[in-house]
Amino acid sequence: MPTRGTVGFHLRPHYAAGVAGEGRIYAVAGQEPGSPGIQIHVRDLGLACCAVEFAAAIGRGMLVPAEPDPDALSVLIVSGTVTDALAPQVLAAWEALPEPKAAMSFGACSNSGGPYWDSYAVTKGVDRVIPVTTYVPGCPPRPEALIDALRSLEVGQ
Amino acid sequence: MSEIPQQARGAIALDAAACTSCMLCVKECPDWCIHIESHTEEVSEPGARRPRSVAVLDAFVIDWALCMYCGICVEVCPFDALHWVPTYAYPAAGQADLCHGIGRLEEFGPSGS
Amino acid sequence: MTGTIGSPSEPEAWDDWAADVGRHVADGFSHLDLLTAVDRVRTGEIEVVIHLQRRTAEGALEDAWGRTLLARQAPVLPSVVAVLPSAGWHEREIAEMFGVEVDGHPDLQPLLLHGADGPPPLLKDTPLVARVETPWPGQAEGARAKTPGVPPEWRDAT
Repeated sequence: MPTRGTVGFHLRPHYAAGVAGEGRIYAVAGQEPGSPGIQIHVRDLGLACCAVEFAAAIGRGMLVPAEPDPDALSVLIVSGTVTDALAPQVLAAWEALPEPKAAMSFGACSNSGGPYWDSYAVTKGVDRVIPVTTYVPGCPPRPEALIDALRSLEVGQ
Repeated sequence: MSEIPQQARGAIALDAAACTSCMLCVKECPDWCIHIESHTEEVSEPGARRPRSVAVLDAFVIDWALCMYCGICVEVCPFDALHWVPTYAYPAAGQADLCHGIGRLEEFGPSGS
Repeated sequence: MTGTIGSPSEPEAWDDWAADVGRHVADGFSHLDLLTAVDRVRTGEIEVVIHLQRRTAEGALEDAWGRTLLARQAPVLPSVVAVLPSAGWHEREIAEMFGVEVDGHPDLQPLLLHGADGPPPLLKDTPLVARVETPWPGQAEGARAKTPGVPPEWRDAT
């Protein structure tokens, strides 16, 4: 289990999870089953630096491991640069996710290509590959921004 | 949750009254994410021999989807019209909604400060 | 052989590429650290640089830097995969990024550019299309275009 407040190599198994369908499921800390609003289960597609901020949210206890729940909204968080070579895997991860589901673009690179918008190898925004519900600005956005964006999904904004 | 430091690079606020449309931030931005539109107007003052030209800011847009928060625009502005604010929560439902104009950029910070 | 062979800024000339690399690998420099290419567009050559390392008995690292020059118009590089299997990916990257024909490579499929069109991206006269096509917001009206990152020859070609 990750130690509260630390982000380090003990989180490697999280990245090794690979395709979202087999990956770990997290929920926003403090979200009780049966409480008002949608149960959100987040799965991270950690592609680059923004994944470190996602890991920081786990390390700081803002996201906690959750048991699979068929009624929960599955949110695929795309954190990091989407390269043209990896785009098919991003699509596969999205398609493997059960309904109901939503995708969140986390950070400039997945929003638009970010600082790499001019690269010959970068997809200019993950919304060219999968439908995106929420775009979180930042380079990278802080973990608080991730939780805030998840909470607005929760109340259906 | 720990407190967010005041100097955190959450967003960039605009003081439109201080902006002279010099375009330095636009030119120096490595991502090309700032867009400015302006025009000049002539202002006549009583007693002056001729009217003087004043730059009028029509539009100032930052595209947060592209912005990498490097701060070059803040540093280069000769009139301190741009400054950092720690505000971090401004997600959008569409990529185009991450383009903020003068109204939203002024809302990030108290105007005139 | 002891000490360092060549340097990052002045690699040793290994003009009989496959044989020279093989000779150094046989001498113990069997760890591949770097194998890449540089487009020397002014001299009309593509320089291929390799950095090999070996560990001494005392545990220190020794370096060998070698390079060869290929004709830019039709660059052909002999593959060293037979003596250095880890060179496989490096040679694939050189092939797709610089348009170099790697002779004798067992599996020359794209490494990073899948389904990409156009000239090899890391050649210095390959335009960065996104910057050429996107209007620069800093462009003053009526002034001659001075888009950063877009040399005049790319602009005039469009």
